[in-house]
Amino acid sequence: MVKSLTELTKLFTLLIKCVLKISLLVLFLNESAFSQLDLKFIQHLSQLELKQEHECYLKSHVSKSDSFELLSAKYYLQYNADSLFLSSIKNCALLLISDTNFLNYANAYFMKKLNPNRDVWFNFLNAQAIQTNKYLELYNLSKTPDLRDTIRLPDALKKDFITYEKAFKKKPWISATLSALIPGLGEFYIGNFQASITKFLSLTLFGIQSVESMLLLGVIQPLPIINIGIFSIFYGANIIGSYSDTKKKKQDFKHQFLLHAANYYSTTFKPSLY
Amino acid sequence: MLRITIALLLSLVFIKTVVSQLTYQNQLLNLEHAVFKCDSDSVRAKLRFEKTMVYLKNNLISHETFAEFKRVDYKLLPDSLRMIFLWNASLVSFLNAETYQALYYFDKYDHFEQDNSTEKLFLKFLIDANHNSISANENLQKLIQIDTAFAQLNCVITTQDYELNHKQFKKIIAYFLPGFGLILNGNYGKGATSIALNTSTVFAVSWMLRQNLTFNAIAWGSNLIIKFYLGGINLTSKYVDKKEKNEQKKRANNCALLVDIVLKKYPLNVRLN
Repeated sequence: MVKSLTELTKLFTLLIKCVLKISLLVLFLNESAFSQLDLKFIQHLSQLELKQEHECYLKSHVSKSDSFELLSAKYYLQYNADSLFLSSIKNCALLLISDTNFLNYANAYFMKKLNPNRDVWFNFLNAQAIQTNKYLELYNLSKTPDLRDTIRLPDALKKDFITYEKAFKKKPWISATLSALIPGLGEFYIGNFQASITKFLSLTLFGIQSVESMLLLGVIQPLPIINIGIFSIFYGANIIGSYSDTKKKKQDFKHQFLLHAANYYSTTFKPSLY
Repeated sequence: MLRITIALLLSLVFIKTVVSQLTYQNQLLNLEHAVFKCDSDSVRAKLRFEKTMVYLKNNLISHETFAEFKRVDYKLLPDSLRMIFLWNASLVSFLNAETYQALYYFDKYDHFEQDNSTEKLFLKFLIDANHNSISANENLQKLIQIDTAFAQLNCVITTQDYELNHKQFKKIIAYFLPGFGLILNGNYGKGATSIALNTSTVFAVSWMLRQNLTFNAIAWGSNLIIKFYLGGINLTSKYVDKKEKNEQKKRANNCALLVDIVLKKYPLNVRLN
């Protein structure tokens, strides 16, 4: 009787141990399954723009893996956190350049930007030595545009590229010197014809009125002094304006070319985050 | 060893559960995960409704909350939840200045719930005050019959329709008598400066003509007269509009205080159960 009771107790203990082990295994499997990132769920969060939930989901799965870093980078880019994106991509560079859709998304995103982050992004891509990427190729062409490169461009972008190439060749100091010689000539040199006529006529009128007041009233009189002062200010502004307009025009045409290129390739490659 | 492992694992699960219940972001995430996994539209609608309740329980009525309300297919909710949802949705939409959305939800609520509570009339009045002063007036009269304290809410309607006295006259007179529009508007310094500048320019140009300074007269006249004359007109228009906006803002602030007093007596609360 005692023996059978002891055996029963042993059997019961064994049974409890088995149940506990199985529960432990189930619990472990459940935990490990939940700790895995669900890409489809992330896509769902991204599509509905559920920023809070998206952030919370990523925070609850923090890891140092490449794939996690890439998913975080995608989150940052979707919500325009450029600097966080640029700092996070260093840890997932290889994975990023193999994700063509996202690469195109990031390329189109930064190509449309008019801030230094565009250069940081494309410099990063250049450092990765990517062989075939249209966006990168165009960005590199835009750094030193050459008419011989026009042949490498699609027809839709040729016109913008030629315009930018022409503006790129113009030197700000030449523009400033021409404006010093004849007011408005610097603007004419860079193709701002309306501005050149306006500047020429207004400065000529200021010049004539200064001469007229000097001849009729003498030099040491309030009106001629005011006239000469105003003429000098406008003359100086015309030189500085030509210099800065030349630089600005280069940047504007570069941005316009890259913007059109980004829009053109967006329709061809259909970039997407996931 | 086994006991220690079990204890550790159980405590881990326990801590995780407790911590996840602490933040509303986790509650939102869990509900969204359930929505994602769910196949039934009606269950999905219920889960989304629960998400709106999480926002409201945490006193969040931002645009994100409003966006969450818009995701709920209220037609799939059971009647009891639908009424709660429609009331909350119209209130949240109103607080987010989404007047037409508020009106849409309120009309649906009104269609299902035929009560004539003060709270309902009050919300209807506030929504209508932004776009339909006739309907707002009708509701205000009903509210005044309930309690005369509502009479002071007339300011909500009048503030919307407020227009500065002689607004157009001040703008037009600036064309004929430079500077006078500004003086009438109460900008005495700017008005006097405008009069002085325009008069002295005319005087200076006529002096130049008398001195045979033809080019000077043309250059100064064409530049300064246009600048001072047109500048004066633009300035008058800008300051008249600015004064009107300031007055509207002042009245709106005063009115908000009155609305607050009424809200203390008749609060408009979200429904949490």
